[in-house]
Amino acid sequence: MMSFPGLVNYPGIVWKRACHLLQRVSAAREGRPRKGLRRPSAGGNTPAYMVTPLLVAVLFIAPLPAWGGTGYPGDETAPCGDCHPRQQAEFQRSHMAMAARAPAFLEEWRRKGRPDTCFACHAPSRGAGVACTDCHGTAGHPYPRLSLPAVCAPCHDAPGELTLRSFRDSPAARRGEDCLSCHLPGEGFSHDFRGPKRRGFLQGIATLTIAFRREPAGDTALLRIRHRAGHALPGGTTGRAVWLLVEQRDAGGRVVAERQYRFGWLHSSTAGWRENSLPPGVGKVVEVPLHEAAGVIRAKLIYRFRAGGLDRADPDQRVLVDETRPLAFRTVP
Amino acid sequence: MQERNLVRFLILIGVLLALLGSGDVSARWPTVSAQQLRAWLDAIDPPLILDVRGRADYRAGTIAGALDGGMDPRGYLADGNGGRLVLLLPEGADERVTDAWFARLANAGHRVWILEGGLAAWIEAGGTTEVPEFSYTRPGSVPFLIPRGLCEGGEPSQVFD
Repeated sequence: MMSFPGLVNYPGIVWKRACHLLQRVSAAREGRPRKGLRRPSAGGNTPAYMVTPLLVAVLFIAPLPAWGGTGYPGDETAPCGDCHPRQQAEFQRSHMAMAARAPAFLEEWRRKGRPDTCFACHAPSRGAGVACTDCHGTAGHPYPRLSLPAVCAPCHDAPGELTLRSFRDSPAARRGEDCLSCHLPGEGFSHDFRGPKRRGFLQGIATLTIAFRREPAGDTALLRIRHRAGHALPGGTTGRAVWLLVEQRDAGGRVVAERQYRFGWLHSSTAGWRENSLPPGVGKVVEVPLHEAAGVIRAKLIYRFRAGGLDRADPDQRVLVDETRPLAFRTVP
Repeated sequence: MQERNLVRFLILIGVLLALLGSGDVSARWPTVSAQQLRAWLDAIDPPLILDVRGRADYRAGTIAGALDGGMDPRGYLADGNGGRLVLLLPEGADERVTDAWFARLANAGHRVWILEGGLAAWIEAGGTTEVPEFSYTRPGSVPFLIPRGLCEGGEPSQVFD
């Protein structure tokens, strides 16, 4: 039995062609050069008797062959930016748009033998990064409204990520927020996606509570890390981490104790992977015994994008919190 | 007639004393129900939870994110930034100790509530507990290593599959 999958797309094709045509006519009237459109002669607007048949032909007759086609109208290959220039320009500034061109990705991809599987997330359509249809699908106009967070899941739930898993059972999800509440704020179909590398995005994301407990056995610093992300921190893939650096100094300024904690993924060749990121909402508590000579404690929380230890340079790293507390209570008799 | 009034008066006094000594903390201190606390913890700026039941109880399981404040209010030094605080008291906590905790925390700038029914009510209301972990794996120690790459090609997902 013969089917016409393209039939359902007919209104979409007409709509898209109308968009294109109106843009072209508008550009021609303003004298703006556009791809495939010759600049009109000086003072020459397109006459109405030429526009009308052109409209009929382009809008209603030309799409007809697509009826019996694949269901994916040929005209959809036209750049989305023809009709959505603002959204395209905004998205091009995002890291997703360049996910397969980022130096960190390319370095790791080459080191691992250029596996093809990386592109399943970094460039599903084999471009420079994520493309419009990778999220919006290929069904054509009118594109269905995206379902959140499901549309983000293929890449942000696996492989190597628990961003979405940690979001599903988070206070943010229970408050009715979704991925876009933080990563795509604003209205008007904005595509200005933002993440932790955007300047100011991590500002105020984490807080550190520093209290103390005094007991006969010794003093202890009680550190509670909390963050406002809707998912575990850090989100993203396994190499990212949040580090807590705790330093104790004596009255002379000498370091008497130092500890480093890494929150993220850890790997063992025998025990496999261990997830140790900072959960959303409740926070994480770290107890640090105070050195008997310590007079000051400093706690620093750092967000790092690069895999590896602290000795590896990370030009993008951000200091989330840096707190110093004098241990004045120890000097009081 | 006078004897009857005296009896009534004594009964009234007895009831009042019984109420005061019944451990009904809501009669003297602000309290929060377990359900209400769950809602508070879902807010953008949740309260700090201070567990003062003692080390053994704390280590056996507490509300996630709670600090172990010890059992002696004099030994706890607050952060100094104030804010809301929910106190997780031991079962049948002594009034004087509760008073001391309130005074200590209020002086540090906290607004304090007591969790009604303690941890048992929390669990009954569907709240989860966690066993605090203090022996965090040191980076680079055996057997756990810091990942060398940013993405490990799906291996971590096997943990959950």
